[in-house]
Amino acid sequence: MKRLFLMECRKITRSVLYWLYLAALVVTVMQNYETTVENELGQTDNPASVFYIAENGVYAENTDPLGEDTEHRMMMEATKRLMENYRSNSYEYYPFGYVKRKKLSEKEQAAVLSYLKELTGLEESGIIGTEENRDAEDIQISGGGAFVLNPGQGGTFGNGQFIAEPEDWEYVENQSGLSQSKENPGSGFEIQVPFDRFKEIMDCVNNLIGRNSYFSRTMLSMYYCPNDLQDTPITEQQHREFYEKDHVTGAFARYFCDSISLIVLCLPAFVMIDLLLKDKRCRMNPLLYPRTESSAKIIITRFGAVSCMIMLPVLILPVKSLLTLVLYCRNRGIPVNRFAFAAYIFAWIFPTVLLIVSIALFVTVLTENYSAVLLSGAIWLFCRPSVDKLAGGNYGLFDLIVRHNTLKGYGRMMENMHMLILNRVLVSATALLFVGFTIIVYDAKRKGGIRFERRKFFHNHSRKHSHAL
Amino acid sequence: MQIEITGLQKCYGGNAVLKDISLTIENGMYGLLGRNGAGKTTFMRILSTLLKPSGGKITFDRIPLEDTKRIRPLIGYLPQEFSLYPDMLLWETMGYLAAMSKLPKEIQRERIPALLQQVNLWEHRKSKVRKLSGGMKRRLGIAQALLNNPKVLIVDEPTTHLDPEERLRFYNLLDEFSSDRIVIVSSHIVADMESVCAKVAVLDAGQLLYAGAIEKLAEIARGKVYELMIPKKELAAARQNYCILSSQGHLSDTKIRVLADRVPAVGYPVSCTPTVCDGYMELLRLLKKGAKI
Repeated sequence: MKRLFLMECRKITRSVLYWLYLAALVVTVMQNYETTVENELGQTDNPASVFYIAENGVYAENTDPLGEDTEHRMMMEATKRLMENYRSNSYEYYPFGYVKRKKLSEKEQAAVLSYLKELTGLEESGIIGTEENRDAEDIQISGGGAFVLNPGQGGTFGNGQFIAEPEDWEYVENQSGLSQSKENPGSGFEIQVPFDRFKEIMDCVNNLIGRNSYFSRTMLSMYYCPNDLQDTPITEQQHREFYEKDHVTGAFARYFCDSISLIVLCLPAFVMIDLLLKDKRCRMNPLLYPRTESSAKIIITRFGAVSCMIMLPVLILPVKSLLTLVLYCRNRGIPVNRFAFAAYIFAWIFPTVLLIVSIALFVTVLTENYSAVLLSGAIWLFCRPSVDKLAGGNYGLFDLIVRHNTLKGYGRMMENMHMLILNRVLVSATALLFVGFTIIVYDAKRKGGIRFERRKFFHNHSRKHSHAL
Repeated sequence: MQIEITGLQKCYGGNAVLKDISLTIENGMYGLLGRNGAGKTTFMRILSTLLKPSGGKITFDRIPLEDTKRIRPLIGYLPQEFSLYPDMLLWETMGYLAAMSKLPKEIQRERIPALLQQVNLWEHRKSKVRKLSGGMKRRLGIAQALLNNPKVLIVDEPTTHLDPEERLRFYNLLDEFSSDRIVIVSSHIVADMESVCAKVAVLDAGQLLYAGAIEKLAEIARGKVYELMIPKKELAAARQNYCILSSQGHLSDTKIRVLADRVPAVGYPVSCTPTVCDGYMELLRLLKKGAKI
């Protein structure tokens, strides 16, 4: 069985789809994860960095997500965004987790305008003209500093297009001055409605735009309230969790798992499908079916080989960052958990890989065609967790992947650990169930009990069938 | 080893592909003869446990076919259509299929080189399968079918697409392997069967027309084979009256070999010794006439 397993692994390395999976994995890790590690290590003195250690031991205070300040901030920021969207008549929303832009009809724009008037108390000219009153634009970087474009900087092309050259931007080291302007955007308006009416208006606007627009309840709390997804200064609790509970690497391991979660939700299935359909393409089934090896061993070997080959790069890729983190911590005498990556990968990624691969295995063995590709695509599109689960902690029993798109939030994870464990056990058990079903189907096929090929339905058996496979 | 087949039937939906076939197969080369679509491949696939029969009973030395755990180690199968993994080395392919056959490593180390040498592919062991010619692939097919040293070797239409030299070489190879086991070979080419098989079964439209010694198949046409010399212009008329087995042009005349129940009244008929092919054609002619066989 070991020999067969190694041979199956070797077959997988010859698959183009496996190399595509590797490429996608490497690109995703480099773009999302490695950059974050570098950024965080490059700005350890930034109060928003998880590495930040306050000299005086004073950290940012916990923000009450339900406080009045939060409500006011949410209303101001959301109204400001709605104004900008209204002016350009371009609204973004996330129907299936990926961004789409929508242009509203005249009637819908008029409705948005009426809502804006109600929210701000401004007339149309005031709403359109508010842009001129806006403060300096700023691009914050994760280090806490910001590039600021002051009024009067930049220029316009002949076609009216606004352009800002690199020298037009000013770098501001301390963002305290900026946060002042954030808290009071100085947009030239004040919110005229109570918070409940604001929520009603936002619901109406969301209905006009589409599912998961920036004005949906979920997005309102995610984008306009203080939360872990934003670059806010860390609190004492977050500081303690990072150094004492996560031992540094735990936080990065979660972030690593999150950054590859969408890759492992789909591509491993293609590797499995390719391995199985190779038998059909190469007309190997009549040579393999009468062999003495049991169906259970053949299926388990193939399932195991694909799962291992999928997991191998996932385990190898974070090694570089792990070494970097371990070295960083050793030089500063910070205790570090060397096995955090392995633990999180096996707990979060492995069950998902098992399930995705087992579904592909079952469907492909049953149908002997590419229908599992469509199914995997559908799973990727429709079964990814909603955006409100991005920050982690909000686990569902039937979630296929675990999201945790922040280095913070250890406490949130621990609070919902029971659901996370249940979910991972359920996902793994379902995977094993699919493998069991596959063994039954494969065994029946080897004995000529089941035939589920297109030609059975469309061709005359008397001749074609005898040459099948 | 003895294979006992009793009342074998196979149906797809309402369509009977094999009808009540009973025969006994013993050690040596056994030919399965029949037209395309006669049911040969279905018969072979049932014997190699790839298809379930709809009725009847098959035993291998009293082991029922349904007991696949005990039957599969006894069988080696070379299908008509196969192509192997093209990017695998020949050596690797044998190793992979040996692992699938649960062969212990020590036996693999001995058997794989021996088989590759036997089928004359040892020097190509490090070539990729895609680089092999059709004949070489067939020989590799035989080698893989013999990996588990089977008591029954089932070879379905092995010489399709092979040139005459490769065909001859292939049948010699099969003959070599048949000394201590059953080798069942199917073909629609009578000459192939005649040269290698001592016993044959003839299938047509799922029916067993004949099973027995190959020389006795020829006897079926005894007294019915004639050679005539007729003018070329009478060839069309002759086709309507007789079953023409062969024709050979000689200037304005044509020499034809025919099957006829009575001595033909034209062309100075000469009675001939029947061949296996004549016997096979006579079987088909009788079937067409509706005679009970």
